[in-house]
Amino acid sequence: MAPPAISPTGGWIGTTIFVLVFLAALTVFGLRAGQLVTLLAKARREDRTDHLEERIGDFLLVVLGQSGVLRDPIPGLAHFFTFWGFIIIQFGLLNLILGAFNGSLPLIGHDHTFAALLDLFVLFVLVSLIVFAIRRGIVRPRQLSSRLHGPWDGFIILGLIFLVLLTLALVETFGFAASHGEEWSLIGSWLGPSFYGLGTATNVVLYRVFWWAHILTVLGFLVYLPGSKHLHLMATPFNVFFRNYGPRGALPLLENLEEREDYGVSKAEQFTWKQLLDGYACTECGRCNTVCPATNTGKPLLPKEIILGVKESLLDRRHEIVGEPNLFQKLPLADVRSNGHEEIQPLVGGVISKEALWACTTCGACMEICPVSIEHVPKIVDMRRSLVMEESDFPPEVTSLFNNIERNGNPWEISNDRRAEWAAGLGVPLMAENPDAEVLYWVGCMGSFDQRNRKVATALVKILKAARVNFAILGPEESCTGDPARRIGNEYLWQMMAQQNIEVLNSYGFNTAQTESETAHNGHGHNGQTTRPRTIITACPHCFNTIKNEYPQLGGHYEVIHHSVFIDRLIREGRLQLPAGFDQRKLTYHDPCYVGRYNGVYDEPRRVLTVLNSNGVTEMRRNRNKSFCCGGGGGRAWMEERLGKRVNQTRVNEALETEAEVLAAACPFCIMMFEDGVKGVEAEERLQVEDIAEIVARALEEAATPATAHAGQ
Amino acid sequence: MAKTIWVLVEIEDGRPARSSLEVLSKAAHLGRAEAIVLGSAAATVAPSLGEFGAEKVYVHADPTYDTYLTLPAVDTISDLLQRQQPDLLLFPTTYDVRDIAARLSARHNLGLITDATDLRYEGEHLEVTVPWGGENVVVATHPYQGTGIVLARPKAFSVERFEGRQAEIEQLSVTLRSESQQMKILDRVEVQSDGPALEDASIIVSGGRGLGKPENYHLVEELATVLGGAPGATRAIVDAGWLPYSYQIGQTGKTVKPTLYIACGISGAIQHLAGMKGSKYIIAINKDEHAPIFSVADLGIVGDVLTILPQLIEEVKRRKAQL
Amino acid sequence: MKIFVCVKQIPDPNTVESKLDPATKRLVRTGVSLVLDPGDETTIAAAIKLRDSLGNSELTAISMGPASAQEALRRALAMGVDRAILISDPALAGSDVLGTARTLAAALKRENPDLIFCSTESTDGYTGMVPGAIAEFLGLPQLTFAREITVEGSKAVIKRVTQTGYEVVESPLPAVVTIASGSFEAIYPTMKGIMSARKKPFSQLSLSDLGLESSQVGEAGAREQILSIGKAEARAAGQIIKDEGNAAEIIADFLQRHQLL
Repeated sequence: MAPPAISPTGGWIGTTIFVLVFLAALTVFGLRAGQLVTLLAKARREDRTDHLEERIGDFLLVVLGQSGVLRDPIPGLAHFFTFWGFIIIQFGLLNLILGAFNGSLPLIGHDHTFAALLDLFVLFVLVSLIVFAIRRGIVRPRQLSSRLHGPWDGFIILGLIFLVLLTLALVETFGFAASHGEEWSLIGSWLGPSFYGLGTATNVVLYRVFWWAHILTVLGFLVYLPGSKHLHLMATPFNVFFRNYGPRGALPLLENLEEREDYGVSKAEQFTWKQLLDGYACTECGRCNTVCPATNTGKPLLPKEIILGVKESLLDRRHEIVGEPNLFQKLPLADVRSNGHEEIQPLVGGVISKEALWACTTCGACMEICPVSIEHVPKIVDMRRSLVMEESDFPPEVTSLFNNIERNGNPWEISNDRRAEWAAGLGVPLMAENPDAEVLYWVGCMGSFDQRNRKVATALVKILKAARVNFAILGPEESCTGDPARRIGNEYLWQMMAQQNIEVLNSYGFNTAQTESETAHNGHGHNGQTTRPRTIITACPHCFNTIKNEYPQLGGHYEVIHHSVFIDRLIREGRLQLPAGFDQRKLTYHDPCYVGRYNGVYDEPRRVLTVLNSNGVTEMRRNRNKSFCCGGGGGRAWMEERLGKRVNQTRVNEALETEAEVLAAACPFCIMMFEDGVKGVEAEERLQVEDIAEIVARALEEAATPATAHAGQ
Repeated sequence: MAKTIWVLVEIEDGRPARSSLEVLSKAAHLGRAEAIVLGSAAATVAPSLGEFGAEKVYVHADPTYDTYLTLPAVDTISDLLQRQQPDLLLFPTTYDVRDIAARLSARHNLGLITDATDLRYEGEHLEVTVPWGGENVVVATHPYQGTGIVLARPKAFSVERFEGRQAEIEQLSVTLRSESQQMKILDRVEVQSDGPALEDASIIVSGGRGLGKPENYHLVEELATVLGGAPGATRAIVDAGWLPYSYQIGQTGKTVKPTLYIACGISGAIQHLAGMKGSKYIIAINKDEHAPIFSVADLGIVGDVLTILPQLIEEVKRRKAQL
Repeated sequence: MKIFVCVKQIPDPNTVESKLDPATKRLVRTGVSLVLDPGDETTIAAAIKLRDSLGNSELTAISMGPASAQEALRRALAMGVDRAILISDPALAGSDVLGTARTLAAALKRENPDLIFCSTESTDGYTGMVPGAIAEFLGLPQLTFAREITVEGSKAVIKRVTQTGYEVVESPLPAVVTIASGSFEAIYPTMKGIMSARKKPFSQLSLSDLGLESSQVGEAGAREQILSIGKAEARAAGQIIKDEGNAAEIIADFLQRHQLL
């Protein structure tokens, strides 16, 4: 705690003033931050304390290691240095503050190594600032624009950081000059000696002036912070810590449908505190906008604006939510926003347009890329829920989808009794006929009824038979899983369908959480002796995801495997003999969102295709976790696409860019969207859309009759 | 004894409506056909009805029928029923006559059989053929003595000429009650359009990618025009920008249930089938014999739509000219 | 205003091929999925729209049918109808147009309605005769095939669909109005609607409540009778023909055979 060479306040009067100013700034900051915290406290409860160890580990990696932003290297590195510079400058600041009390930090307060490190970071940050300024002022990527904080917030922040650095450099320079090097710093040692000529007295005055300037800038920054996008600086660490550790493909369950007052979110405070914290944590980098299929095809949806819209609506209604009159209302300084809004717009249909909500394909690309773990899709679905279940306000073409799912158990006007018709003559047993089947093939509505996808179902049956898998299908006992209904916002219908299907699956003893006695009690003839896990496979990623990740919310726990993974397993276990490299057509693979991003399956389908294709898999520009949606998810397959370019055509064009002849997919909706997309861009002659199962089934035929010509020639 | 059958004849553009004449011809075959003509043009229309089978025509030329719906006609026919008991009221199924028949039935407790495609007398018994659903045809009757009502399906019978037949004309002298003048027509609006809207069209000709290129879509439009129907399209060609969205038929797009649907170069993706499988008759033309559209078609032609369509347009024109 | 809407529960027309039981000669209603007539959904939407625009009005759905028809009325309540009446009586089975209209009219008469909505025709019976007969039994005017309706004072004005356009027709109230199918967008029930439907007033009436004799309705009172049920001319199951230059003729023959030219 050695005293500084020069007292920055010049005595107790200065120190007293400093203490008063410091406390005042801290109080204002505390009030402003307090208002934000109060708003969170008024929101819905949600437990985010599970997986504590992983939370701590990830926290260190993402916050201290900056792993999130570093995925985009140039602004990422700039951010890395700014972040660490910020941390180290805090120590320098503390040192300067202690100077007012004739003290300094222990160990590092007068350490030249620390002083040098500090200044090196000052220089790093300065360089980063230039990078940021160029990006914001000259490159101006569209995603950086901010409706909520206006065009200047970003520059004000950059300016403030610059001022902090400038005043720090000047403090160091004149501290060095006034103390003739006793107050050593790197920058001071470069610039300080040039000012010896001014005389010590003048240098001391200048040192004190810049000390105050520095302190006041920092305190100003602190007070400005809660109302600015740089709130993320405080909120992000919490947001990362409290991020979702449940299955990524599961939307939150809406509990107690029978007794609820509200269904979904029409007002910001109906979100959980974590959903609202997302708004505080948003750094407005706009990475989400750059990957969003809706944004990219000219739809009115920008994921960033959803997050900021929720925040804006929350802040618009801050007094109403906290309760009026309140402290923050009476003390304008304590209020994070000045009252400028005469008329408060509703959240849905006002701050956020309905068209934006309906444009979402729930592909999850926004959440995947967000460096601060913001959850966009659950918010969009929450607001859709309110529109559907409270307002009955949704695209009119969806009405028949809901009615059909409810009445017929499938999305069409087709009697569910006809669900097994596709399998006629294929020798496929029903579960009712083969209750001991090890594998249940969940066919899904598309595989059961859509002519195109029936071919996929038939191919998969061929594969299962070739591998001598003991399997069965449910036939008319199977119903729509409810996935499209849930993602469109009809939670009620999803729960209805889920319960119905869970009952059927449990009756055949597939529930892994079920005891043997329960299974036997159901009397479907399953002998209860088998200890092998009984597996459900499906070619539909949407069925796969909702059964695997969402049915557990209603007590249905199953081992569900996507067919691409199952086929890969059969090959590796040697149960399928396939002619390696039999397919010589150039092929590209599209990762379906609900197989890839939501469930992390990237390698298995590629492994299968690489074995079969002599050229391997030619990747599209956007692949694996950056894959670009086909346009069919989130119930979009059942809605019109009236605005902008077609998502499916955009993706088909990406496939065409690779000059592939085959676009391999692993999802019936992707297949449907791409078949339309290929017709839409009139590329039927150039590009075939095929499911991975169809390619494997052809390989089996090839193996059986080696003399025939290669496929596609 | 020959059955006496009354036919309510409607007037369209100053002439007896075709649907009325179809029914009149049928009545003349079944027994003694007597026509009822009401409205300001009734007197000019009445003399021509003998030629279409009427033995007698009841006429009330009064403009009230033109302005006030249903009730004046119901009153007049009721009045006539007080005086005479025909065996049957055989009416065409039209917007206005349906309303009249329903009230007559209720007022006089007359049995009512609708949507008849055929009827005959087996001795004293009337037997009416009515299609039911897609699979059944029922034969129905009025199980009591006295007058009954049958509404005939449009185009179930053809118009015939009874050369030289002169109808006896009786001018009705009824006074129309003021209480019957309730449903007043304030305005008649003709909606101008090139053809029927997709949703209302009873015939739809629809095109898909099998047409090859946008320039060929005119064949679909031409066939629709000569058949008096509306042209439609699949999502694929709407997506490809050949046509505006309003043409799209399917799960997304419009759901249609016309009497006739002609699918030209359409493979029949489920999204398309969902929008048109309720059509009564489906004709499909497609090159690929495995196209799913054939699974719902009543008549499927495996062939080149670009060759067949021009021939079909000519053939339809030729046959229409002969009718 | 007291507004009523007559509704019907029918076998789901989209998935169930409507069939007649050869023994009873009645519509098969067991073992098939039953729904509120889709046409009635449109009509209910029209009635709700009018009720909401008028204010201070009550909308009641009324149906005649077996106990299962409750479900259809619940759906109507979930869509936003205020109250429901089910007329159910074993003696009503086999009612024809007149029996049905007589029963509904008797129930409506007790309520002194200002406006009665019906669909133009049911999707299963499609006679389109019941609304007119109800109007006659009640001595009310009928406004049919409406694709739009407005009420001004004690008058209703509709746009009535015609072959070539529409007519503007006005009539004094009370009146029966039939709504042309597809003129209004059906309402998908909200959760609040579904939950409150369980608590809304629901009354059930029998024939004796209406002061009707069983001889006036049901099979006993029917003025039409089915003599026999036959198979329709087998709809040639998907005749697929390869074009050999005569496709145009084959198609034209088909059109002529089915009176489509």
